[in-house]
Amino acid sequence: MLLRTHEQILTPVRPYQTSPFGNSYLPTNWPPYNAGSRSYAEAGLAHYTTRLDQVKEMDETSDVVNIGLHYVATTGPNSTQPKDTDGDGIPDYVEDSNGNGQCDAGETDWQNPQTEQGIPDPVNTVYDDIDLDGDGMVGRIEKALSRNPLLWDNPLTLTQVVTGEEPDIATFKVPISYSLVGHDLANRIGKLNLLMDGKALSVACEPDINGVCALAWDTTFSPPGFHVLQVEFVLNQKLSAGPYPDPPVIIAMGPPTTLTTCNVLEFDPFYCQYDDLHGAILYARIHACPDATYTIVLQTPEGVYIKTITGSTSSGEIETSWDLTYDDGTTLYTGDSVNAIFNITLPDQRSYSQKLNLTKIIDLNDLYLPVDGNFTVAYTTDHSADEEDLHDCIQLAVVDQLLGVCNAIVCYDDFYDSTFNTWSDFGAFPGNPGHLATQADSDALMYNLANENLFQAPTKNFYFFGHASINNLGTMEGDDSVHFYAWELAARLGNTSFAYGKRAGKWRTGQAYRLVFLDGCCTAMDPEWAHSFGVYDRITSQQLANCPKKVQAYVGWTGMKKAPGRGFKFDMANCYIVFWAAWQSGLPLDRCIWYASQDHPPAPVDFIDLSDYNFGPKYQYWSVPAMKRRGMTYQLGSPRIRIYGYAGITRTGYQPGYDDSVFYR
Amino acid sequence: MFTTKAYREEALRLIIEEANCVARELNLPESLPITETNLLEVYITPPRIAQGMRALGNITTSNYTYYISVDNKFSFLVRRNLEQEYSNLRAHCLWPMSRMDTNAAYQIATQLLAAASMDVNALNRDCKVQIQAFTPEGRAGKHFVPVYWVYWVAPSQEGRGITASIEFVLPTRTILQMHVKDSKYILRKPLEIANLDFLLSPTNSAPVPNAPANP
Repeated sequence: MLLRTHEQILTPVRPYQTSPFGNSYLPTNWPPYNAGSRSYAEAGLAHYTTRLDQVKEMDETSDVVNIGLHYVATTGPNSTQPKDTDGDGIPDYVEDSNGNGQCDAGETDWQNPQTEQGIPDPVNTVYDDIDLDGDGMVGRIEKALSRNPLLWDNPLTLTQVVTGEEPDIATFKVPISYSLVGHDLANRIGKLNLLMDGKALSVACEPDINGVCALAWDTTFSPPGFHVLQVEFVLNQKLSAGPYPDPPVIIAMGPPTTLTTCNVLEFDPFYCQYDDLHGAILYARIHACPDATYTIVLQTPEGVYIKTITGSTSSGEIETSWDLTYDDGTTLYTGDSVNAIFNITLPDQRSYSQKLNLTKIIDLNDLYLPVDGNFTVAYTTDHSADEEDLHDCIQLAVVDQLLGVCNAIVCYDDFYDSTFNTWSDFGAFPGNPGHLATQADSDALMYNLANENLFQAPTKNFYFFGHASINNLGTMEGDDSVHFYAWELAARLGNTSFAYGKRAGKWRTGQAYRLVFLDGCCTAMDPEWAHSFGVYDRITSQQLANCPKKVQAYVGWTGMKKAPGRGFKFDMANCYIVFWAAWQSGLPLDRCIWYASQDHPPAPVDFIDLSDYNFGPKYQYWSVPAMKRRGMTYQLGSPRIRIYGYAGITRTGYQPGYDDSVFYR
Repeated sequence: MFTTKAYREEALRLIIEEANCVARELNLPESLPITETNLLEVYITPPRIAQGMRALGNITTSNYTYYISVDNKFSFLVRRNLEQEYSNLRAHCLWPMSRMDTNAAYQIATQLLAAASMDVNALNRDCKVQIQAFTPEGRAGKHFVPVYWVYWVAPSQEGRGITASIEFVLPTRTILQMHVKDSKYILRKPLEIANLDFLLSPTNSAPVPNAPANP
């Protein structure tokens, strides 16, 4: 038999030994010992061992690595405690993550508890994206919440508390101080989301008597039954410069818990308000049975009787109206809030009662979403070399398509106007695509979006391209940060309660946008941005048959979207030209996104190759190694476009029949 | 995004011509003929995109937006100031539910589509028809507005889009919105730009602006 270099002949009886981590430890007198083809450093096994006495590879007399299964070296033959030479609480094999025995960039020194003087290794920024204790929180979040990064102390736990509002309202305490996450606090460090079956609910965090966060979930707006609940913490984050998605992990999840809700009626956020002109639509879905008779008793918040409405249904839905009159049919109710008590009786004579609170919209402008309202476009970039390319891309592919182009003789008006951007002359005239270069530019954008200039027609449509996150937009380059947060926008638009109130997503009080597309990372992980712009979570064809003027949509991304690197932006421009040309051609939003998501769009867009940049999951897919390199979680590494509102909205109206668009998911 | 003045003028001429035909065929409340001076907004798809998408552009008068968006054929029509229209209708045209007549709505919808040279027979053959009325008081309310959506859905596409749709005011037959997304159901002739190369030649390109550039 011909042996190749480093191959060894083993005795028929293999003398493996057993120790805490397994039963394949090697005796030192066996041929594979010190018989490998390379050094321990090359093999990355400095802090591993094959020996019962737990001597590390790097501490053996020879640098040659042993052949055989290697285990993490522990403090002794009977110990499962990995060696921690400097006693800083982080095992040596973790500190020297490439296992070469040296302290390299991106590692902490396994022989020094403070690799950077004065900073204990567990809080070193090296571990900002690493969960050292396995409690679901990376170092960045452990530090933000003042937790021990070496202790399993995840505070994102849900404990149900009794408030007297049960069973309609289920309230959970999360042991995190409101002062850290209250939406109305300027120095808040992040936010909490309550996830129901993996989907973020619009649930506000409010302080209990001890200043700890309480999440009150109005279960009457969710289908009854078994639900898995989990709390999610999202850290505020300023976005770093660069063409790639921002890598830091800013989300932490708590352990799941379950709750079975027993509401018979499910209310709809779309029908939670009324106004003097249109009255109210009283809506509820009956889950127990399609057939029912009902009475709806209307009362003031103080319980004073107003009116009773009766009826029956065989579709499982109650959908009737109230003209705001009292029982006499003429006297008008003028209060700002009303309680509707739904009493239903099923065919088997079982009866149920459930209360819905409706509020009045004072400003009717909220209902009025002009289709030809102004459009604002803005973008940020952080590489000066890219600015020119991106400028041309946004100008030509977006702004000129929306606003039109002009030359010395005539201007061609393309439907929209803008109080923020200006068109160009076929690229020769620079126009203004809305570059945000400074904080002052961002402030001007906010002023524009909030329609604070009383002498300008209101802006009701907005497109943004650039760095973004779950709750802010912009870029940080050196000390020159350009950003604003969703809650700042919500406050300026008067949507704070719609975005963060106890009935978030239900009682709209401020300005509403018709179309918003935040084309940046993580802008649709939860409804915060959509609510900040006054957009409902979901609008259906039937709701539009009742209120056609309320058609609107918000588009964002559910993860870290890809963007082209430095250089020409032809690929990107092609994608945006297709998207906005489809929009300008009157196609529904669902179809515009679909066309711009294809590598090779079919007819009528089959002339263009979008394989180098598009919105589709195939292009946007991050490989596992690429995700790992950038510290991305799987959740953030599968970016998809998501629509809130209605997917069948068009430039000048809407089309029914888009109630199951894939972009709602 | 390259275009020329000559191209835009020719595209616009064709679209206006087609809009006049449509307005006549559908008896739309327009002052005919529609001319360039009547237009409030014009979107001419950039030539390269227009050639590929076969969506020449659209024009808006004070009454309607006319879209040439599918295979260079007239394909969509949308009433201008829709929101205002809905408000007016709701204020002045509230009918008791007992007057809801989806059969009449279907008949008128097919007549209007046929008048615009849409292939209603093929739509009925290939798709399912759905009808929805404007019910501002909810489906169980006492009143409705005689505005109907009649739409055709391909069986495999239910919930994910429609093939054709029309929304109109029944008593006046005023069209609010009309969309036909598939060229095979549009029996109209496509608009074709002749002498495309000539129209896009540099001598016909846009003049250099004499206005100062924005910063």
